[in-house]
Amino acid sequence: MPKDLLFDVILNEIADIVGHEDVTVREAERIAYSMDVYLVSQIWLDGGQKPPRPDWIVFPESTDEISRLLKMASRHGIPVIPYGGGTGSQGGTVPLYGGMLIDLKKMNRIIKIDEKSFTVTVQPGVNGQHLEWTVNKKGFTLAHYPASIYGATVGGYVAARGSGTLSTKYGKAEDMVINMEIVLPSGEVIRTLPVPSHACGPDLLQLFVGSEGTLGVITEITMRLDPIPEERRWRAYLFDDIRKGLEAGRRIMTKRLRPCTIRLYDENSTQRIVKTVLGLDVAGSYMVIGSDGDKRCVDLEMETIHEICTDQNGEDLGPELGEHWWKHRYDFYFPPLNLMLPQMFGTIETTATFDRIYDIYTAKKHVIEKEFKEWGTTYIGHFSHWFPWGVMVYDRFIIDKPPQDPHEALQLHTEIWGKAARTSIQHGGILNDHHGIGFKLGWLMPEQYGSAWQVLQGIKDHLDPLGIMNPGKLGFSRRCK
Amino acid sequence: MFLSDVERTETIKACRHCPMCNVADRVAQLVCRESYGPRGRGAILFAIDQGLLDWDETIADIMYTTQNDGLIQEWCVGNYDHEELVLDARAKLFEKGLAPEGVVKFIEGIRAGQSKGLSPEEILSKAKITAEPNADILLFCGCGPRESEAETILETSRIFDRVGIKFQVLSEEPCCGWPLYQLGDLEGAKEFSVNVAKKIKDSGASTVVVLDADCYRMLLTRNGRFGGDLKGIKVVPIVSLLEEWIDSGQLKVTQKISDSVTYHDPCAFARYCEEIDSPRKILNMILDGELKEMDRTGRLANCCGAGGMLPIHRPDLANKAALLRLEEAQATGASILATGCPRCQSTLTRATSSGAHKGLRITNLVRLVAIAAGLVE
Repeated sequence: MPKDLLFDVILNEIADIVGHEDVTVREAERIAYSMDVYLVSQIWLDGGQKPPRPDWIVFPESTDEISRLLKMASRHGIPVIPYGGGTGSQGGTVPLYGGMLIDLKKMNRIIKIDEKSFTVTVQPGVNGQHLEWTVNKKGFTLAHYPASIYGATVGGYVAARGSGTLSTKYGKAEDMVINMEIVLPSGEVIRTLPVPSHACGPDLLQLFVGSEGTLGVITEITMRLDPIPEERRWRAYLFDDIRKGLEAGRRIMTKRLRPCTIRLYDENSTQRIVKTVLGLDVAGSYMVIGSDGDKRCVDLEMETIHEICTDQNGEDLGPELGEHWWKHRYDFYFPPLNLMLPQMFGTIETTATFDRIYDIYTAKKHVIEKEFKEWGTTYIGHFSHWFPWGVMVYDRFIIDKPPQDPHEALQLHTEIWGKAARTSIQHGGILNDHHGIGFKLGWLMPEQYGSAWQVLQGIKDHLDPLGIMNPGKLGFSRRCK
Repeated sequence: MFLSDVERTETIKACRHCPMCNVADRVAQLVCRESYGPRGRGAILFAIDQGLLDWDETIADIMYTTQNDGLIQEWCVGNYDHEELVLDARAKLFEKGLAPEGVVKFIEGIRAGQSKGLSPEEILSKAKITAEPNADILLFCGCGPRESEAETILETSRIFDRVGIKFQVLSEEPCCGWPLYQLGDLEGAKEFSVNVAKKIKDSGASTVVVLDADCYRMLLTRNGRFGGDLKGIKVVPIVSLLEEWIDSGQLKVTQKISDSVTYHDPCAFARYCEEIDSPRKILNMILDGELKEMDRTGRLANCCGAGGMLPIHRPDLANKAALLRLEEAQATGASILATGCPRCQSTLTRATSSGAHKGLRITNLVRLVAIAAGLVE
């Protein structure tokens, strides 16, 4: 069958499922869907080249439509790319091999708020901020405040294991999810167990959390809610150096306190970001810390935190700077305050146990600053998302004057990422904490998992034997032709 | 036209990869397409500049399917003027003959002077009200009120009469040019701006009082830039005068309004001209109880649906946006939704025709003042 005829055949089959008004193949729209927030597609476009585009863009409104779309895709063996808010930074929604992109934003119903169990059930296309505003009116919060909240969808939160600024207390997206409905690549609809805590074998729910559209399409999600805290209080401290700050954070967490936020900036970040956004021109390592909940608990928690921080010579900067940071926490991500082209940059964050995190930080700093010195590479980092056993370092490389040629730029970008990621893995860290894998890091997944990779690849092969689901992502071998 | 080349380039560069204002674009959320949001528009315009795309009807549909109400710029920490970027794109599309057919017909109608409304003089004379031809104050009614909210014009004139201030109207009040500016006919907007300014100047009035929020924005902030000459003439919105008159006692409140009221901020007043306090001060003086504010007010208020002349290209979406605003009003528990702009009033009133939002009455702030002053029941 000639390709253009096949194209039309598939278009008409899609239209039969969703209606002609809910599928588009218009070039301008294909361009708009060719990117997420990953730099490489942007570099491509800026270099005057069209990034990979979807062939068909579809806007289903129900699980049934998605099921039928996947059956159709399986029959033709075409790639399927689920798309939420397109706010991911790893290229997870970039249609590397073309195919059918399924934008889930029409599936944006808040199905149920269970005020007794403190849960909310939603379709995957609900915008994160809209959900937060809606549950706030009933006295609840999702307590998930990622930088992408204004554009991201709940489906995206879960599919990429996202995290927000209050994760230290409330957890990451994977900790908030109660159950899900998923359409498998075959078109079959499955549900995970009603609750996440059980002794009924391995965790099916968590298999699909973080699957980035490679194992199926998430079509319904029940998430945990929390009550809006009676009080949320902030305080800022300035430490002599990052080590003192890290030790303060470690003591807070291992004492099993539950601050909602600990955000510790290294000396470079304190100079570069804190100065720009907060107007605070100081040397050292800046920490903002927050506590929320019942007022009496907050009193006690903040008192204990203060003792720990001052014990590490932390200078108490008072509450105002912390409050200012909270009010302006998203400002960093708006242009022109964010990093954007023509700068080349990447967030190469990793998570490790407390005993390893400083070594990882220094090793990566060394690799980035020394091995890419000719490009004037800057390394900055902060430590947010703290756990009872360790912490994430949110570190970045920045090159103010990268190569202009997109091919050279991609080569340099890949080299830096390879070095940074391998340094994390070698020192006991992980490829990524909360941005996901996409195709940016997919090629490193077998290294990350070692011999365990065959287990994930085997699951992928079983669930998606034709390899139609989001090919090129998460490191899975491609089968779909 | 209102963005320099540098500003245009910077705005496109800022918008093309940035999803941070997605939540502020109500139409994009209704359409549920990336391509119809600020980032999609930015990416498409960038691709055109890069020579990767050509202007076509798809792009026209995208650029005309937005309220373009200023909320995106308001939301943006970098304050990039995405709305003016859209208008720049519309102007290019119109110039290339690619504007949607309905838009072109509407523009042709305005240029031909077609208006469903009566002239201000005719409206007043029907109510046996006579304006004062040489008065120092000129009441500029606007096409919207003349077409569908004539009562607001009459109530305004009764208030003027009560405070004993004479006013004149233009016998053949022309369009201020705002619809043409919004729809991309910049040449038309220039002609109309020059024409309306001349008529106002020729009237001899030193103050123009404007009823419609969009006309107010046009006369205050755009007329001069389109070549109109209103130098030496003061342009004020009706709400400012009402506040002044009630506050000074020139207009006595004889019966406070006991209904529960919420207020919709017109985009052109609140975001573009910072007219946020006057309506609230007025309501504070004429209401028995407290104003019931909606979740989104002032500079962050959601549009009524008429922004960017959306009803011309996509009346269905404009109506959906209006219904969402009505929902927000109803959530306050108020029985009256007041607004300071006749155009918003018409749009919101039209949306109630579906039968939803029973128990919520849409009215103009002017009418509430007239009721409080005992001028109408």
